[in-house]
Amino acid sequence: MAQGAPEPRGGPAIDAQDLLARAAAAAAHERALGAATARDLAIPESLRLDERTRTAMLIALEQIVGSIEAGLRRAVVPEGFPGIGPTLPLLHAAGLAADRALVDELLARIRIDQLAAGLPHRAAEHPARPSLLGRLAEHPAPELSEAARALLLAESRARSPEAGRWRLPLTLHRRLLWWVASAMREQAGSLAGVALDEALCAAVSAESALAARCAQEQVEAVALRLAAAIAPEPHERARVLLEALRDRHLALFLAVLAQAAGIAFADARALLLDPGAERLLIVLHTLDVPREAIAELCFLLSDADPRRDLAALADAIDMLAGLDVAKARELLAELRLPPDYREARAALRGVRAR
Amino acid sequence: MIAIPSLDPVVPLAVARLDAGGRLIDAEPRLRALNDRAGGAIGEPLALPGVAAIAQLAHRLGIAISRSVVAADGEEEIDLWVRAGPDRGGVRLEVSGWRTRPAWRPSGDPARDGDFLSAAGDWLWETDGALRLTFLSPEAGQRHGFDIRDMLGQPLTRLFALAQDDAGQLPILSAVSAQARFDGQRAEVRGTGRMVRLAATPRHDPLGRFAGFIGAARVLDGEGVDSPRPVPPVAGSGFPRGFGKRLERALRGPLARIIANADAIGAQGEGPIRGDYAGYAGDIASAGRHLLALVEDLVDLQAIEREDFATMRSTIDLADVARRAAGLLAMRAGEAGVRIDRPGPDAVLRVRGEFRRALQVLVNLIGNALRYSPRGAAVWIRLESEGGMGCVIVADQGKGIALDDQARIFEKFARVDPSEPGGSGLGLYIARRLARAMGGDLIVDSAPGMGARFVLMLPLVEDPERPPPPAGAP
Repeated sequence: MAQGAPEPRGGPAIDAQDLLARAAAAAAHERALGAATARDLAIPESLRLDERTRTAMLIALEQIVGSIEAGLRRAVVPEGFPGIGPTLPLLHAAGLAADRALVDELLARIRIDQLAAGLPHRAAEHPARPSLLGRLAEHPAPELSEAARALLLAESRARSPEAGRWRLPLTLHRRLLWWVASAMREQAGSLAGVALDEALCAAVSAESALAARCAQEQVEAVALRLAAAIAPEPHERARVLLEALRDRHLALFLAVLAQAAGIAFADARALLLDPGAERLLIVLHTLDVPREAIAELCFLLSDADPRRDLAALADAIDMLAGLDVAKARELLAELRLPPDYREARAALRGVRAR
Repeated sequence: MIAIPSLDPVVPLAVARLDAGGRLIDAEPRLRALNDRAGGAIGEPLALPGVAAIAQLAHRLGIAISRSVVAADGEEEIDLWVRAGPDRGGVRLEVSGWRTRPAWRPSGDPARDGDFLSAAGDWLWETDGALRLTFLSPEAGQRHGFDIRDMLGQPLTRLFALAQDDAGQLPILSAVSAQARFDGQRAEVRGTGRMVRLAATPRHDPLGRFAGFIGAARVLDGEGVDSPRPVPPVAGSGFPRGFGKRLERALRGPLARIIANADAIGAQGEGPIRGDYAGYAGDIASAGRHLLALVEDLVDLQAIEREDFATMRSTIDLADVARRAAGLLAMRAGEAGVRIDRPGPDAVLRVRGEFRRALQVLVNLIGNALRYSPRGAAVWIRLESEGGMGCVIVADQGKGIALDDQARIFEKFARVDPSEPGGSGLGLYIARRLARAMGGDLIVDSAPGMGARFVLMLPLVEDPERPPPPAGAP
């Protein structure tokens, strides 16, 4: 033994009280395991997340919560409040992952990233012809050139790690700010007083205001501005949609689609992410996008996403010609209703069906 | 603007026509010969399954589509680029490429290219096929004082003034015409007088056509336009400036993935596997952890060896730091069957230093103690204050350190016993440098067979803001 080292304390490390507590915890753990297993087995294979997506969602959540933590921690000086550490475990235990709006948003973002990564690069028909945004960036109309450069800028920024902080929609970002602040307060425990409450609330307000200022520079907002500036005539829509997809600018594709259809960006995204793509096809058909362009869009998407069955899509495209125009317009009209209203309707229908 | 040569390589093109039922009407000799060798004939369905599938898709979708296909030709495999489009009720095929597929080739994984490039550069850029900038790392603008918004969408040459190499060539031009990667294109960031070295790898579309570059720029330190000789890296460190950070960025992600996946396989989370395979996965994970720790050490090493290295001097509670460090290693201690005897929850020892760095030193000391402790032993952490210094003592029951070795263990890359697993030989060197940078020290006293005893000393806070007395204290 080392010279001067203290003697070890004798006796076992735990006492009878600990043993009883551990026994109780083991029983609770077993019940929780049983419940989790039952939930897991009940998930149909078709709805089960693949491992890649699941991991990507967890990483995204970790990054977002981590950057929010860092922002708040800067404001409340960590040494002053020992015990404040990573909040994600606490948030998980409190049911953060059961927040539907958050989970839906994360899943959609991960899937869009996967789709974008899968889209093959396309060379222009003529080698010296710049890509769509490159051409728009030099457009004589300043609102077009500025919006195009702003989109390239937003996309460049979104790829830096710091960007995780602002990637959620504002309402979700605010909700998460409060969640993380509450978790930090919980960790500080009874050692901290109302001073920490006040510091945290002030930090949340400041972060929230910053996020509101940054919201207009986010990829989505900028893409929607560019789509509004391009404002393609109905006969030009197909070309712009196709070029955006060939150049792998999914945000621009979605913004043009949303703008043409008069629907929300998130709804356009849901249409694009559905591998069956029936709703996307019907909406494109209703917008008078020609059959050939729809076929090429389907071809590009099936190249990007192996789950898409091109033969089934080809069948669906053939059926578009025989589609009842009134029914198709009804689908679009429904998508144009305010999302909150549709959400509430769906929730009520869910209650009545039970 | 660079004049771009034709990017389509000269490749033989063979045309064929199919009827609505997918039967071959006619084909140019090269394609017909391939089809014949595969057992097909005029008037019969195409005998090349991949090509036939594209023809059928083009027919079904009613549009021209193109894809690359691998076709078997006897023992060999050939890469074909197929373009198929509707034509007079049937399908017209254009087949080019005709490259024999090598037995093995490196996978063109863009993520991997990105990893290499981020290791090679200070910031990244990307272009489309017409060499217009489509992406720039935001930090590039901050670094060189230009607004990246003004450069995005612009020709690459608007941002970079390209310089000829010794042979009077522009490496980027040769790369465009050969559709190959390039390295060592020197250029000035226009208007800044700063020289950078560009490297990039091309992106191709499914037909093998050039679709742009993904590239990196590395700032040539201290090199203006008029001084073409690169300045040697800071003496002593052996690394160019920023190398450590780039190395970490490039390696951390891939290593973390290797470790996570190997752990998942080893834990048999996705289903049972044979025990020895689970063991191999465990070996992979521990080797990955070793590499990751080495990378972190190298990054630290580079940071602390810089002349302007400084640590924060704030008030920290060394008892709290010690408890946290012990907590971080509790799992490893459990696995090793070693008990950590940490300071009690009421203990407080206020010193001046940087929380993160003190934690790093203690994690290193306790980690070492665990590594050298036999199963069933204990590691003690004790607090003392003496001569204006707050001390944390980490003592173990391992085999101890011989007197001769006690100075050597703080040297760079020193390993007392090279047969011992784990450790880069940098940990204690870094730990002592950190302790000294905070105005303290790290010392050892030990004798062989008596265990090792490390003491981290940091200056006591002279006028400590007294903490509130613990509840129940008189």
